[in-house]
Amino acid sequence: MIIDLRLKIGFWITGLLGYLFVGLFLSSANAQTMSNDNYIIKMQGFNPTAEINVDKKPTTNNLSPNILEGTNFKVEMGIENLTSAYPFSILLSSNILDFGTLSPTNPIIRTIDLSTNSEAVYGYSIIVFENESLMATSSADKTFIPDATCDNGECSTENSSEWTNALTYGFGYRCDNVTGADCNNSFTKVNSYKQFPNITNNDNPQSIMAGVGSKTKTARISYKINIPGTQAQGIYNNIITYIGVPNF
Amino acid sequence: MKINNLKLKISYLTICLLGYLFIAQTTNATPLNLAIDPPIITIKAIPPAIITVPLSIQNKGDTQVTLKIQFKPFEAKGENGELEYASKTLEIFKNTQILDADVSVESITLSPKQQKKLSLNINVLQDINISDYYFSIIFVSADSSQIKSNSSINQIGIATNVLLSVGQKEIPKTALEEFSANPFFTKGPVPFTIKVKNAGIHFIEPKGEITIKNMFGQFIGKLDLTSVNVLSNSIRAIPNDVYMQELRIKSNFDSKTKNLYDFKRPIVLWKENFLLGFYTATLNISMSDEGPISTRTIHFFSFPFQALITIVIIAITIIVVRNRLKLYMNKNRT
Repeated sequence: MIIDLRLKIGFWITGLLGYLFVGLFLSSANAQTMSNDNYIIKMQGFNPTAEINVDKKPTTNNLSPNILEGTNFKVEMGIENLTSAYPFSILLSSNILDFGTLSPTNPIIRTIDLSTNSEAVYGYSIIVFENESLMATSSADKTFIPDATCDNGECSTENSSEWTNALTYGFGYRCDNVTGADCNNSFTKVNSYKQFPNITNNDNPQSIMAGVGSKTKTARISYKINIPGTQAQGIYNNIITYIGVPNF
Repeated sequence: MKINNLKLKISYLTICLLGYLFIAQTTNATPLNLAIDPPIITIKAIPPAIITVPLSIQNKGDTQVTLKIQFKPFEAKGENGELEYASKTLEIFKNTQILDADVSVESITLSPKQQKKLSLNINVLQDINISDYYFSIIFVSADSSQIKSNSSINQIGIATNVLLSVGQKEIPKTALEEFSANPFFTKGPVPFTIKVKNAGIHFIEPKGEITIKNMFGQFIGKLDLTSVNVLSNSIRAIPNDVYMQELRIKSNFDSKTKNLYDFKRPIVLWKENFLLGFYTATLNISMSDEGPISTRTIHFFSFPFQALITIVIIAITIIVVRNRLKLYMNKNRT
């Protein structure tokens, strides 16, 4: 009886492996070659059931890049084999974020939407920086609202950290995905914030969104501001710049 | 008396209305939307050369926008084609300008929906250093709003990248830094990692393919590499078009599948789901039109353990049930 069972299991496994090998042979893609003394014709296998992408739209970029040639130079514009009906673009939903009246220990959060279409490139990033901290416009002694360091005092232009305490003061931002998942990974924790890189302090601009070239991706950028009771009264402003940069 | 009163009232109302309109106008929020074409310009030049390249910038927004034009040098940031800006300036900037109808401009103003055709003009002088110059042309909006409240003014910019290679063509100093795959798989797809190091003075555009043979020596796969630029003194991971297409699809969803489909770590993807046995993958890559050509072979093994174990368990179960049934039938007969 035991011998019988062993034989049967052996038979089953042998059959199974045989079937798998047959399957393996069927999936091979052989190239065919015909030749005589005068010629060699090589034909590669083709898949008659291959999908044809019918979603292609009229293009502004040709399949091969535009090529210009002149005396002592050659120029290629665009990317080979990359078609797109749309050029590389960036959209910001508002040119201003008004925080309204600031009151101490009462955090204010305002949002804007940042979108990009990067079908025409392999990848992209959007970098961000501020011209200076939020500065009082009428103040002669350069009163400002400092960039936030978050609840544990550790968030910076590169590292994010949680900021929920109403007694933590400053100015910061975070990025939330709306379409796609291109926000910087450091914002995966809810309520984590970063400082805007400050050009006046020679901070390097930081990537806020980055990803593979594709259709429209959108992120929601939240600006958060909270001031202490000791903050001097005034109107505080700065300039935040977002730049869409294609990969090379 | 009544007329005077009415006049006063009208004047007062008019002043209030104008004041309201003035204040409302200064705090209007408007979207900003810019597009640029082409996104990348590669130039190979031998001095002396005067190069003129067309490019177009479009204001897709509904308000007029003034754009400042800047040149910023960059270098490779990672291995996926991302860049970072350098604080240095480039010698070539002295002889580089943007032309609007043959007039050099440092800023342009675009009406709503206006598309403007400009020219990048580079004068490569005879005595310029034989080297590569990598820089972005950045168009940044300049906001002149009069702000009377606590606020941040937002500006946007858009860049096109220029890779300028100055000097005669030569065989580049390159190295195939990595060609690898896991040695064992239970199923496909199979990711290959290819990294190319360019130690030369000019950027390169390697072209190549991976061919895959099964244990019987049959060719069962051919993967063409995507044509990408590898900057001087940098390393770049090279993907294939199949992977880039997968990445585009996956990137629209959440990040659950990001281990395999991570845009920061490009790979070559062989989309073969059923794998069994010993496989050989050979990479042939030509670093430039002038060479050199590198060839490297790796091996991997695949066995579908999970599928096999499931099938064996089902087979054993069927046999056991069948034998029990036989025993039961025999007992009933006796």
